[in-house]
Amino acid sequence: MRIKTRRLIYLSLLVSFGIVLHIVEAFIPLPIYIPGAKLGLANIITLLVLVLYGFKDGLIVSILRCLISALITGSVSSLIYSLSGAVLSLFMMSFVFFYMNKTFSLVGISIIGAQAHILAQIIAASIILRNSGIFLYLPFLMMISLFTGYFVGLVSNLTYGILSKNLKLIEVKKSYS
Amino acid sequence: MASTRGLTKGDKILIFTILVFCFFGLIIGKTYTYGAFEKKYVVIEVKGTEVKRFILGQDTENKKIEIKGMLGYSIIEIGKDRVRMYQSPCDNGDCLKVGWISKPGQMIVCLPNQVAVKIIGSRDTLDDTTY
Repeated sequence: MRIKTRRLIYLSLLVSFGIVLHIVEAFIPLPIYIPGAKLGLANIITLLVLVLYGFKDGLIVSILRCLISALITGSVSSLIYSLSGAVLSLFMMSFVFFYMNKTFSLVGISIIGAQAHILAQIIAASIILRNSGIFLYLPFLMMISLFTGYFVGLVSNLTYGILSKNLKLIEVKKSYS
Repeated sequence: MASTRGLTKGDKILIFTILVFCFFGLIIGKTYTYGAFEKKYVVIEVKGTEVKRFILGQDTENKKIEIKGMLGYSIIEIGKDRVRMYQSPCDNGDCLKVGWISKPGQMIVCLPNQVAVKIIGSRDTLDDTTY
């Protein structure tokens, strides 16, 4: 019971981190303006939850993160894009993480997640706008999301090294007391 | 467990593959967009109903069209890839001050004469509302 509560608290903390990153990254100016390109800092949280807590919690956290940040920022129209991107990228990342663990490190998993994210958003946009010409924009966005995915992977790799130790430490300490 | 280790061989292959794919995709996309996609229509409306429609940039060079509105005849000039109101019977002349328009989504409206000139793209250009 205690473990379950702790898990709940950590997951909700991670959800709130995700929301904050989602909001804060809108304030970071990009050197060149590209419509649709974002840093995707909230993917750090999705990847971390997937690695630390598994697929099911990752799905819950990323969906909650999308819903709540859409409510906070007030852009409900972008909810479709962020939700579809988050869900597809989570599926792809968990597939790669659980079955091709040896081939890819966290950076590679994050890059795959970023690509899936952009792919899902383009598909969603083409369905909503009823316009398949938008796919010509895909390689351009893929190039950008390659770099952002690399960056996100590096950050989550570093964070994972610290966080996994600390989480385990707390878990062990509490279970002995 | 994929923990703190550097880039694996798989990562490097993945990055390289995506870069190559992007490179070819960009080239294909560039050659493709300059071909079939940039079709713009000039739509002329009187009292909200469509009267005439031209494809911009397709034998429309220096064409002048007379349109009968509420007050009289408006003359619309269509250039190679742009449109303007050339002459209008309205008294404020706001529609003349707009000048040339050339992008999809732009429009000239003459309220007194109830004539509107719009440019419509065959595909919407990407903008911020897309995302």
